[in-house]
Amino acid sequence: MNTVLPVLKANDFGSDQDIRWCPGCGDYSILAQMKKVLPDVGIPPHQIVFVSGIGCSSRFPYYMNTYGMHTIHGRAPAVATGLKIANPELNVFVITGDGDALSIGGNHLLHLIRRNVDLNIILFNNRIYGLTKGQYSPTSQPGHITKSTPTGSLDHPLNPLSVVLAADATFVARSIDFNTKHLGETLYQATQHRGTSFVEVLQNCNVFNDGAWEHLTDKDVKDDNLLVLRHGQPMVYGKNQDKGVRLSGLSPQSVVLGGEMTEDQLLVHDQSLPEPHIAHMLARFSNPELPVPIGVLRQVSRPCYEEQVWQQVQQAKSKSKGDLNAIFNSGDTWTVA
Amino acid sequence: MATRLMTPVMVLSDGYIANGSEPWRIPDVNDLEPIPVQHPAAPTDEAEKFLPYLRDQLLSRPWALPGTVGLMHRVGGLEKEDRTGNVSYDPANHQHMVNTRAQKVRNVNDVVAPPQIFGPPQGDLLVLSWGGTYGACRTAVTHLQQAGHSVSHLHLRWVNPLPSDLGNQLRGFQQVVIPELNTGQLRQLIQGQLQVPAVGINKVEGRPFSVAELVDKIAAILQAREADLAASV
Repeated sequence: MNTVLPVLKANDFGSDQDIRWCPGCGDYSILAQMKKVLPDVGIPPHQIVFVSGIGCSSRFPYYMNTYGMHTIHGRAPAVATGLKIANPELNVFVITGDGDALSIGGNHLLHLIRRNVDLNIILFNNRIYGLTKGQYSPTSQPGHITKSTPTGSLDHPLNPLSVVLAADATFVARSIDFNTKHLGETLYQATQHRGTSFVEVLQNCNVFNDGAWEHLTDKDVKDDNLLVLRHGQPMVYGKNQDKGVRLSGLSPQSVVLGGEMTEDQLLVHDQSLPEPHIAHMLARFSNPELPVPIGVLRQVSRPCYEEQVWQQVQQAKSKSKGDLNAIFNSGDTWTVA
Repeated sequence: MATRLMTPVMVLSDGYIANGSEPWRIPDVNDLEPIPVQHPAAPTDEAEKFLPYLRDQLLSRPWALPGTVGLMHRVGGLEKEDRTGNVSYDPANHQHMVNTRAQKVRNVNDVVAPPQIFGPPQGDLLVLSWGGTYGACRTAVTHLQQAGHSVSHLHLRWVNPLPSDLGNQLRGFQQVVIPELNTGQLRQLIQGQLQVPAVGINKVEGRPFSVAELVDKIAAILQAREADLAASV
């Protein structure tokens, strides 16, 4: 007899807790899309764990009716790695922000990604410390005036995608809180990847850094500033789809289509390239010279860490019966008469 | 202890323990005490609400494994409502939970055996020690006892919480001496928490205490004490 499985809806994944984000925060959009995507992923709530660090974004687990761990600042990758190794059946998400992931947790993030543990990292990038009420973050722009940089930030910002590509991430994507459809699709693709998937979500903090991504969300200008990456498609963008990106020597160049400039001269996006050079290049695109890419920059395959751990355990078990008494009595032992 | 009370346990060690060597009797695995761990099962009744912050008699919480049907819950740094584990901003609940967690740690004393005094339970001087100084302290005390001094030894295996009856044990002696390879951390705890005055023998030279060193220093403390008593008569 077949068991009829319940059909889950977005609300089945939400908890009944009051949400303590400011009204108008971009985090609501990410939460809504996550709840919407999970039923399509087809995994029941009890097999999902959201692990977070500290920050506004890291409140996220409390709002999901799944298992959740609101852990230590920057240390969600370490907890999530242990969790996934302990039970590879679980679907694990790391929810983090630009401060949590790139400042105090910068080290942990790199090691999670290079190990390619099969889990999903969602980094909410609002270029500011929101929870602590508006200090500059590792992604704040130079000159940005905040409570902790009253005469402007001197720090050169980190580019999250460049950082994770340098750690050989196998799935690298970017989306925007305002573009809910694209965000939902990107989150879904991340869940389908085997290995560490990394999604940077450009997220508006309407209280402490309002408009940080306005050039990518304002309907009058966004299409001229954004490049929506599609695997196998030429890199065309613009309000009228009349611009594109091509390689000029080793440098990317924005061109206007028309006349002799045709689509077949443009770069064709291939997210599956084994070498990350093009992905690195894409990650560096910034306005106004080049459009900011969103979508999947890179998706390649590499063995997953937890699988390899369990293979080693199995191999060790096949070689030895694991007799603790024998181990105790091995080496330099003697009998006292 | 970590699994019984669902609390982090920190093991303090030192270079002397790590680098020292001594013969050990090899234990039989079958004689080792088991560490029983229980995980709550999925609720049989769907309407049954799992209470992740329900506590047992030692105030320990259930250990629900992620992946178990029906036990979804969230843990983390924000204060939780008693029993339900929902995030709570209620001041009275916060006070209750802080008290509860502190009591849970004190409950360690319900599980571990109290430390035993080596030597008479009353006397002139008690040497109180912890960690890798055990051997030097125990041997020094043995030598002093053999020389006819009224000296006993108490070695702590659990430093926090301090054993419930430690204050009374210490008050059985005229003088408490705490040899430590630091600047006197345990002495601060003892004086601060138990209001028992204590004298430290401290050094931070990267070398352990020698027995002779402790015997000399403890004997000097005893002698100074006797001189004080004689002067006050």
